[in-house]
Amino acid sequence: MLGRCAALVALLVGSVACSSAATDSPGLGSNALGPPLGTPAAVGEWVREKTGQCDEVVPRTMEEFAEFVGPLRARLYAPYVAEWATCEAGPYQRLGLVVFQREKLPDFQRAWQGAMAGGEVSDNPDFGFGNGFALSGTLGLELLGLHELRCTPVGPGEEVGHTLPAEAEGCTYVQKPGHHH
Amino acid sequence: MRLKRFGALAVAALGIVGVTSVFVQSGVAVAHGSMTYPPSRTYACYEDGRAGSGGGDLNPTNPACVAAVQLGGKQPLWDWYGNLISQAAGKHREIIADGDLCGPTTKYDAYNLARSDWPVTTLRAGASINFKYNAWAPHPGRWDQYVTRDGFDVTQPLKWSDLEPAPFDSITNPPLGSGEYSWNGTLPNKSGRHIIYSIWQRSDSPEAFYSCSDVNFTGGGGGDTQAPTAPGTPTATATADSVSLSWPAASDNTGVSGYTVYREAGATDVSVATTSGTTATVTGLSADTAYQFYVVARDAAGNTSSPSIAVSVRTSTGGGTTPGACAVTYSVPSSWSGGFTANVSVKNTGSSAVSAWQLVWDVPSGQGITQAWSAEVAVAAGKATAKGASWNQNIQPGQTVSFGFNGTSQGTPANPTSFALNGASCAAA
Repeated sequence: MLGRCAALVALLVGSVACSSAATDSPGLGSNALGPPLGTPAAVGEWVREKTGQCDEVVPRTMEEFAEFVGPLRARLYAPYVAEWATCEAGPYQRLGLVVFQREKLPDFQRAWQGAMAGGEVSDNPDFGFGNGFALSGTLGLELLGLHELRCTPVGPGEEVGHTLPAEAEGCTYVQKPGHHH
Repeated sequence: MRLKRFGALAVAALGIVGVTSVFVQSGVAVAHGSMTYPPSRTYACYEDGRAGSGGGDLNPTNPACVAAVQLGGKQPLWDWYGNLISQAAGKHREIIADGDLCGPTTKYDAYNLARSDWPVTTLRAGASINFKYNAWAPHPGRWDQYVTRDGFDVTQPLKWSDLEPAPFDSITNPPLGSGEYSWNGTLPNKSGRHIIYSIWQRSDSPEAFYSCSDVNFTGGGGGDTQAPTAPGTPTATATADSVSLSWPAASDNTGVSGYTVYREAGATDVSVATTSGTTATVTGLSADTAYQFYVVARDAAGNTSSPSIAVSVRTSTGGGTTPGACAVTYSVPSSWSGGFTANVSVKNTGSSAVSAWQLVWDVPSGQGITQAWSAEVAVAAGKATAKGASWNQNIQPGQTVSFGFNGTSQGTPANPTSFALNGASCAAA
């Protein structure tokens, strides 16, 4: 089932609900989210192919990352970020191109789960996630093949569209129908 | 505004640029926006940050904006137009806690800071205003503008109960030009420091946007706090698809400025008509269906009355909407052994709104429906009935609503052969 979901993702971003059984294996999770991109430059190139923008990728420091997302979200994101950069791709004057330390994705997700359970944050990560990377802006990004990372359970009657297991148990990558956040 | 180049993702999302196989979700388009006049906190701080940086960065100087950046970073200012909840679906008061109204998600939480020194726009009480709301792409929806009650203390967290119970301004599908919605309205008769709280609920998506605009009203009449009396009990006459209501007028010390008609709909009642008079006709109803309506009066200061006693009425049998006043597009973007996904679009091709839409079709033999989104779909006696969600249950003339579902199928899924919208057959688009 998972392999089929991955194939569907690669072929088309449909609204078929795939297995929601979460795993904790580094071989699964974000690997099903499309092309693996391991540097901000590669992410920028990918965005440029899709949008015709993101011409100038500006490498950024982790101090600038903290300034960008603020101390709370920096505490949750930064320990798991390998490097990041920004570019301009409308409507975003400053779009973050964030590459994660792939082996730490389970820890990142568990840390976010803990922050939500402890009341430190009230909602799921706000980036749009791809295979080992994320964009800070989410407008229209599911149409670029990115997913929302969700570490909260599905409520009764709640609509859940395209769903893939994330790296940590209890987290999933989802694309809700008609959803572009 | 520096908007010239900032539409690429929006354009890509609309499938105009760089069309590849990943853009098959046609029909999913983009919004994003915020009030630019009177400016929302995020927009005002963004502009303050631009002015303070000399270009290329955002370094606000306003103390509240500085505090917000220290708390939440600069990204909420770069993304000043993204203060939203994607699955709000009209349930604003249920999902946003007191104190979180101005920034209901973690990313924008800093804009809930209860401070008196946010950038403030001075407005003349009771005057006309041209509201402006940035948007990257046109989308149907409704904007409701609330104002805080007299006695509101901006140094305390903003609560739902701090708002007047009814919006002083509402508009559906305002005109869009140059990347900006704008419409005329009348400001409430308030005095001093207040917040204008705007909610944009899209009608083609559950997504909703929120903004707090800090304002200072001058020239107000000292604050009219007296609410109108409740309107009298409405009387109703029904046809198969409409109900005409009339009610005894309410009274008010400064005069009643208008009425809002609500249809009872469970946890969240639905505003179905606004009028300055004491009659209204609600159209687009289902035949042979029971409805309850009540009326709320408001005055120029935004004070609202208690609701009238509700009137119960049942539409007559037969009839329904005009045959052919709807068009349905049904597609199966993917299928697999034993299952499929279907997308359905329903367009109101008539000249009147369709309220509380229900789409019925015969389920082809061997098929079932397992999961739906953007509508509730139930199957009984071989017929599927889809009902609009709370955020898309009304279809304006010319508007299209879409929903989808996953189904089971024996063999290749056959398409339904006909559809009926609120009892009237639809054309196949």
